[in-house]
Amino acid sequence: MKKILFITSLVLSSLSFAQKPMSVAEEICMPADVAKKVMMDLSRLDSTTAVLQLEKSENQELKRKIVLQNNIIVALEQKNDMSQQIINKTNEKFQIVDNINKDLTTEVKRLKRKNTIIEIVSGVLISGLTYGLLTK
Amino acid sequence: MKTFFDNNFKYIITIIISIWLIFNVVDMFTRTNGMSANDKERIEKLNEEIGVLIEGQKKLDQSINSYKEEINKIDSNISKIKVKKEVVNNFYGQKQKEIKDANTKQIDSMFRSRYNY
Repeated sequence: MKKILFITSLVLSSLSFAQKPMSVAEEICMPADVAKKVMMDLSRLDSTTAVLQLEKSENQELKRKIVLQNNIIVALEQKNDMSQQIINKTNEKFQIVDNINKDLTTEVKRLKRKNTIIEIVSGVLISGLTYGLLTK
Repeated sequence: MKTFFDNNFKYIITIIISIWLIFNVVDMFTRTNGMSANDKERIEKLNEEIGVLIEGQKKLDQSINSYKEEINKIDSNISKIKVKKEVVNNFYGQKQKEIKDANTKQIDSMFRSRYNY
Protein backbone atom coordinates (compact mmCIF):
# COMPACT_ATOMS: atom_id res chain seq x y z
CA MET A 1 0.00 0.00 0.00
CA LYS A 2 2.82 2.34 0.88
CA LYS A 3 4.42 1.54 -2.41
CA ILE A 4 1.24 2.39 -4.34
CA LEU A 5 0.91 5.73 -2.53
CA PHE A 6 4.57 6.50 -3.20
CA ILE A 7 4.24 5.72 -6.94
CA THR A 8 1.00 7.74 -7.22
CA SER A 9 2.58 10.77 -5.51
CA LEU A 10 5.65 10.42 -7.74
CA VAL A 11 3.53 10.32 -10.92
CA LEU A 12 1.40 13.31 -9.84
CA SER A 13 4.44 15.38 -8.92
CA SER A 14 6.15 14.57 -12.20
CA LEU A 15 2.94 15.57 -14.09
CA SER A 16 2.70 18.88 -12.25
CA PHE A 17 6.38 19.67 -12.94
CA ALA A 18 5.96 18.75 -16.59
CA GLN A 19 2.95 21.11 -17.06
CA LYS A 20 4.61 24.21 -15.60
CA PRO A 21 6.87 25.10 -18.57
CA MET A 22 3.90 24.72 -21.01
CA SER A 23 1.91 27.47 -19.25
CA VAL A 24 5.01 29.74 -19.37
CA ALA A 25 5.38 29.25 -23.16
CA GLU A 26 1.89 30.69 -23.94
CA GLU A 27 3.04 34.26 -23.26
CA ILE A 28 6.24 35.91 -24.37
CA CYS A 29 7.56 38.97 -22.67
CA MET A 30 10.09 41.22 -24.33
CA PRO A 31 11.72 44.55 -23.54
CA ALA A 32 9.75 47.64 -24.60
CA ASP A 33 12.42 48.86 -27.03
CA VAL A 34 12.45 45.43 -28.75
CA ALA A 35 8.64 45.54 -29.01
CA LYS A 36 8.94 49.02 -30.50
CA LYS A 37 11.46 47.75 -33.05
CA VAL A 38 9.19 44.80 -33.88
CA MET A 39 6.24 47.16 -34.36
CA MET A 40 8.44 49.42 -36.50
CA ASP A 41 9.53 46.44 -38.64
CA LEU A 42 5.90 45.36 -39.01
CA SER A 43 4.95 48.86 -40.11
CA ARG A 44 7.77 48.86 -42.65
CA LEU A 45 6.56 45.45 -43.87
CA ASP A 46 3.01 46.80 -44.28
CA SER A 47 4.35 49.83 -46.13
CA THR A 48 6.52 47.70 -48.42
CA THR A 49 3.64 45.29 -49.13
CA ALA A 50 1.31 48.14 -50.04
CA VAL A 51 3.95 49.81 -52.24
CA LEU A 52 4.76 46.44 -53.84
CA GLN A 53 1.12 46.02 -54.87
CA LEU A 54 1.16 49.50 -56.40
CA GLU A 55 4.49 48.81 -58.10
CA LYS A 56 3.00 45.63 -59.59
CA SER A 57 0.07 47.56 -61.05
CA GLU A 58 2.43 50.25 -62.32
CA ASN A 59 4.59 47.54 -63.90
CA GLN A 60 1.55 46.06 -65.65
CA GLU A 61 0.56 49.47 -66.96
CA LEU A 62 4.11 50.10 -68.19
CA LYS A 63 4.14 46.72 -69.96
CA ARG A 64 0.87 47.65 -71.69
CA LYS A 65 2.39 51.00 -72.63
CA ILE A 66 5.44 49.27 -74.13
CA VAL A 67 3.19 46.99 -76.22
CA LEU A 68 1.22 49.99 -77.50
CA GLN A 69 4.40 51.92 -78.24
CA ASN A 70 5.72 48.92 -80.18
CA ASN A 71 2.45 48.89 -82.14
CA ILE A 72 2.94 52.59 -82.89
CA ILE A 73 6.51 51.91 -84.07
CA VAL A 74 5.26 49.10 -86.37
CA ALA A 75 2.49 51.35 -87.73
CA LEU A 76 4.96 54.20 -88.31
CA GLU A 77 7.33 51.83 -90.12
CA GLN A 78 4.45 50.68 -92.34
CA LYS A 79 3.50 54.31 -92.94
CA ASN A 80 7.10 55.08 -93.85
CA ASP A 81 7.15 52.18 -96.34
CA MET A 82 3.91 53.45 -97.84
CA SER A 83 5.34 56.97 -98.10
CA GLN A 84 8.37 55.53 -99.91
CA GLN A 85 6.05 53.67 -102.30
CA ILE A 86 4.05 56.87 -102.88
CA ILE A 87 7.28 58.75 -103.61
CA ASN A 88 8.39 56.06 -106.09
CA LYS A 89 5.02 56.02 -107.84
CA THR A 90 4.89 59.82 -107.97
CA ASN A 91 8.41 59.85 -109.45
CA GLU A 92 7.29 57.28 -112.01
CA LYS A 93 4.31 59.49 -112.83
CA PHE A 94 6.55 62.53 -113.15
CA GLN A 95 8.86 60.54 -115.41
CA ILE A 96 5.94 59.74 -117.74
CA VAL A 97 4.75 63.36 -117.66
CA ASP A 98 8.33 64.52 -118.24
CA ASN A 99 8.59 62.27 -121.31
CA ILE A 100 5.26 63.60 -122.56
CA ASN A 101 6.52 67.13 -121.94
CA LYS A 102 9.68 66.42 -123.95
CA ASP A 103 7.52 65.03 -126.78
CA LEU A 104 5.32 68.11 -126.64
CA THR A 105 8.37 70.39 -126.77
CA THR A 106 9.59 68.54 -129.83
CA GLU A 107 6.09 68.80 -131.31
CA VAL A 108 5.99 72.55 -130.65
CA LYS A 109 9.35 72.96 -132.40
CA ARG A 110 8.08 70.91 -135.34
CA LEU A 111 4.88 72.96 -135.54
CA LYS A 112 6.91 76.16 -135.45
CA ARG A 113 9.02 74.90 -138.36
CA LYS A 114 5.85 73.84 -140.18
CA ASN A 115 4.25 77.23 -139.62
CA THR A 116 7.33 78.96 -140.97
CA ILE A 117 7.24 76.76 -144.06
CA ILE A 118 3.49 77.43 -144.46
CA GLU A 119 4.11 81.14 -144.18
CA ILE A 120 6.86 80.98 -146.79
CA VAL A 121 4.79 78.79 -149.13
CA SER A 122 1.72 80.98 -148.61
CA GLY A 123 3.80 84.06 -149.35
CA VAL A 124 5.14 82.49 -152.53
CA LEU A 125 1.65 81.40 -153.59
CA ILE A 126 0.11 84.79 -152.85
CA SER A 127 2.97 86.48 -154.68
CA GLY A 128 2.53 84.12 -157.64
CA LEU A 129 -1.23 84.64 -157.72
CA THR A 130 -0.86 88.40 -157.45
CA TYR A 131 1.77 88.36 -160.18
CA GLY A 132 -0.53 86.18 -162.33
CA LEU A 133 -3.50 88.47 -161.80
CA LEU A 134 -1.45 91.59 -162.46
CA THR A 135 0.20 90.25 -165.63
CA LYS A 136 -3.16 89.02 -167.07
CA MET B 1 6.75 75.69 -171.53
CA LYS B 2 5.82 79.23 -170.59
CA THR B 3 2.62 78.99 -172.55
CA PHE B 4 1.82 75.70 -170.81
CA PHE B 5 2.22 77.39 -167.40
CA ASP B 6 0.25 80.37 -168.59
CA ASN B 7 -2.58 78.21 -169.88
CA ASN B 8 -2.69 75.81 -166.90
CA PHE B 9 -1.68 78.20 -164.12
CA LYS B 10 -5.04 77.92 -162.34
CA TYR B 11 -4.99 74.13 -162.39
CA ILE B 12 -1.41 73.91 -161.17
CA ILE B 13 -2.12 76.28 -158.29
CA THR B 14 -5.35 74.42 -157.45
CA ILE B 15 -3.53 71.08 -157.41
CA ILE B 16 -0.71 72.46 -155.21
CA ILE B 17 -3.20 74.01 -152.74
CA SER B 18 -5.30 70.83 -152.69
CA ILE B 19 -2.25 68.64 -151.99
CA TRP B 20 -1.19 71.05 -149.26
CA LEU B 21 -4.65 71.03 -147.69
CA ILE B 22 -4.95 67.23 -147.82
CA PHE B 23 -1.51 66.88 -146.25
CA ASN B 24 -2.46 69.23 -143.40
CA VAL B 25 -5.84 67.61 -142.77
CA VAL B 26 -4.29 64.12 -142.69
CA ASP B 27 -1.54 65.39 -140.40
CA MET B 28 -4.11 67.02 -138.09
CA PHE B 29 -6.16 63.84 -137.68
CA THR B 30 -3.31 61.33 -137.48
CA ARG B 31 -0.94 63.15 -135.10
CA THR B 32 -1.43 62.52 -131.40
CA ASN B 33 -1.41 65.28 -128.80
CA GLY B 34 1.74 63.93 -127.14
CA MET B 35 0.05 61.73 -124.48
CA SER B 36 -0.58 58.23 -125.72
CA ALA B 37 -3.45 56.08 -124.44
CA ASN B 38 -0.88 53.80 -122.82
CA ASP B 39 0.68 56.71 -120.90
CA LYS B 40 -2.77 57.90 -119.85
CA GLU B 41 -3.63 54.41 -118.61
CA ARG B 42 -0.33 54.14 -116.72
CA ILE B 43 -0.85 57.51 -115.04
CA GLU B 44 -4.42 56.60 -114.05
CA LYS B 45 -3.22 53.27 -112.65
CA LEU B 46 -0.46 55.04 -110.68
CA ASN B 47 -2.99 57.56 -109.36
CA GLU B 48 -5.24 54.70 -108.20
CA GLU B 49 -2.31 52.96 -106.48
CA ILE B 50 -1.27 56.21 -104.79
CA GLY B 51 -4.89 56.70 -103.66
CA VAL B 52 -4.94 53.21 -102.13
CA LEU B 53 -1.65 53.90 -100.33
CA ILE B 54 -2.95 57.23 -98.99
CA GLU B 55 -6.09 55.47 -97.71
CA GLY B 56 -3.85 52.89 -96.01
CA GLN B 57 -1.86 55.69 -94.40
CA LYS B 58 -5.08 57.29 -93.14
CA LYS B 59 -6.10 53.98 -91.54
CA LEU B 60 -2.64 53.69 -89.97
CA ASP B 61 -2.99 57.26 -88.65
CA GLN B 62 -6.33 56.33 -87.08
CA SER B 63 -4.82 53.29 -85.38
CA ILE B 64 -1.81 55.35 -84.22
CA ASN B 65 -4.21 57.91 -82.73
CA SER B 66 -6.15 55.18 -80.92
CA TYR B 67 -2.86 53.79 -79.56
CA LYS B 68 -1.91 57.29 -78.40
CA GLU B 69 -5.26 57.66 -76.63
CA GLU B 70 -4.66 54.33 -74.88
CA ILE B 71 -1.17 55.49 -73.88
CA ASN B 72 -2.63 58.71 -72.47
CA LYS B 73 -5.05 56.65 -70.36
CA ILE B 74 -2.16 54.46 -69.17
CA ASP B 75 -0.11 57.56 -68.31
CA SER B 76 -3.05 58.87 -66.32
CA ASN B 77 -3.29 55.52 -64.47
CA ILE B 78 0.46 55.59 -63.78
CA SER B 79 0.26 59.10 -62.34
CA LYS B 80 -2.68 57.98 -60.16
CA ILE B 81 -0.58 55.05 -58.93
CA LYS B 82 2.29 57.43 -58.18
CA VAL B 83 -0.05 59.62 -56.14
CA LYS B 84 -1.27 56.51 -54.28
CA LYS B 85 2.34 55.51 -53.56
CA GLU B 86 3.01 58.94 -52.17
CA VAL B 87 -0.11 58.69 -49.98
CA VAL B 88 0.97 55.23 -48.75
CA ASN B 89 4.49 56.45 -48.02
CA ASN B 90 3.15 59.47 -46.13
CA PHE B 91 0.70 57.30 -44.18
CA TYR B 92 3.32 54.77 -43.11
CA GLY B 93 5.89 57.51 -42.48
CA GLN B 94 3.41 59.08 -40.08
CA LYS B 95 2.70 55.69 -38.52
CA GLN B 96 6.39 54.98 -38.01
CA LYS B 97 6.80 58.38 -36.40
CA GLU B 98 3.91 57.52 -34.06
CA ILE B 99 5.58 54.19 -33.22
CA LYS B 100 8.86 55.96 -32.52
CA ASP B 101 7.16 58.40 -30.14
CA ALA B 102 4.84 55.78 -28.55
CA ASN B 103 5.18 54.63 -24.94
CA THR B 104 5.03 51.04 -23.76
CA LYS B 105 1.27 51.09 -23.23
CA GLN B 106 0.64 52.43 -26.71
CA ILE B 107 2.95 49.81 -28.23
CA ASP B 108 1.06 47.11 -26.34
CA SER B 109 -2.20 48.58 -27.60
CA MET B 110 -0.86 48.54 -31.15
CA PHE B 111 0.02 44.86 -30.80
CA ARG B 112 -3.42 44.15 -29.36
CA SER B 113 -5.25 45.95 -32.19
CA ARG B 114 -3.07 44.28 -34.79
CA TYR B 115 -3.40 40.70 -33.58
CA ASN B 116 -6.73 40.93 -31.69
CA TYR B 117 -5.68 39.33 -28.41
